[in-house]
Amino acid sequence: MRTLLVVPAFEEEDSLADVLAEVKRELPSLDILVIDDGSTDHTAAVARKAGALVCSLPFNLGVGGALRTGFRYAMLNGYDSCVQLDADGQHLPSEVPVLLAGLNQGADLVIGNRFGDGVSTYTVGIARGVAMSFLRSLVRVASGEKIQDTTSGFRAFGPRSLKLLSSGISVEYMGDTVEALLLVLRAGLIVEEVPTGMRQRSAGRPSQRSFRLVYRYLCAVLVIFASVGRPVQTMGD
Amino acid sequence: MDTRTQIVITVALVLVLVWLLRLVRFRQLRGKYAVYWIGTIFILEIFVFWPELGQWVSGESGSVGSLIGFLLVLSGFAVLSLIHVAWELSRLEERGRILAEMNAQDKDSRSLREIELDDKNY
Repeated sequence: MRTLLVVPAFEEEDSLADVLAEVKRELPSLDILVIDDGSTDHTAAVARKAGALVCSLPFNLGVGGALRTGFRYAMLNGYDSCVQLDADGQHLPSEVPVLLAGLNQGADLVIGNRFGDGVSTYTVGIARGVAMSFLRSLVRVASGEKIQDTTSGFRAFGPRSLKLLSSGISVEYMGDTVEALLLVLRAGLIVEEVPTGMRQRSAGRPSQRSFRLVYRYLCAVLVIFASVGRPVQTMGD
Repeated sequence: MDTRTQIVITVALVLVLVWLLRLVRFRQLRGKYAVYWIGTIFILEIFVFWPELGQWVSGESGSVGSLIGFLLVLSGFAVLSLIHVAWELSRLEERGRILAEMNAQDKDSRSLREIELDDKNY
């Protein structure tokens, strides 16, 4: 299976070099595509210097738009699968083979579960915990499936989910995580979770904060609620 | 405001709400705008069921009667919404220009490569 590692990056010049160096060390045979999501710093230059393929978006499209670009690149260039990895150094490149093993066992989407038993020490605050728990319930009600980590950005996509999401992934907040997950489940594809670790950010700042985060969370919940039961369409439909 | 008017306005607002959700469902309206307009519907409902609020606004602004107060708030909101729409349109126009320029540059560089290849093959 030919796999492309997709790294959406926005203003990540401080952490990206270390992340890409670690990926090269751990996974020397894997092609890396960094989607520079309209950064105003040297993110694209850092990625090129590290030997990654780079696609620079002319302005910020958000993680959903960046991922869609990466997935389309993968489809056009003959890749069978993709792995999504954050540019902030929180995901462990050494665990990419664990995700790919899930794809090889027949799953269409493999989610790196940050709350999986015995692997991760990742914890969240009360407010974030409640918000994540609500999303978990929403996914369960909408799809009937019990997914523990609905917002994890460490995922592997097999050929069928890649085809579906290269056109169907939403550009809304959490469109790349919760909404994409619901889309895959609605299409009848197989979703698996595997326990993975999670580190603290190595540099940069989180993309969302306080009041704006609450507002965008409300927007996302509204979109997810409104999208329940929508017919699934893929490229060419 | 009598009960009949309140019911008619409420039904109209519910229909608008359903329309908004349908637009979001089929990705014809972004979530951020939907939240904005749904918030507006709730605020309008508050004014419909508590006309005294309109009277209070009239008193504070020096106008007479709840209708004038209500219209005052509505006009202010409409002006702000239009400014926001104008700002969004300007931003989209700027993005459109950037994309057009990039597309033109891409076409130019491809044409140059084709000319170079033709020269080599000649």
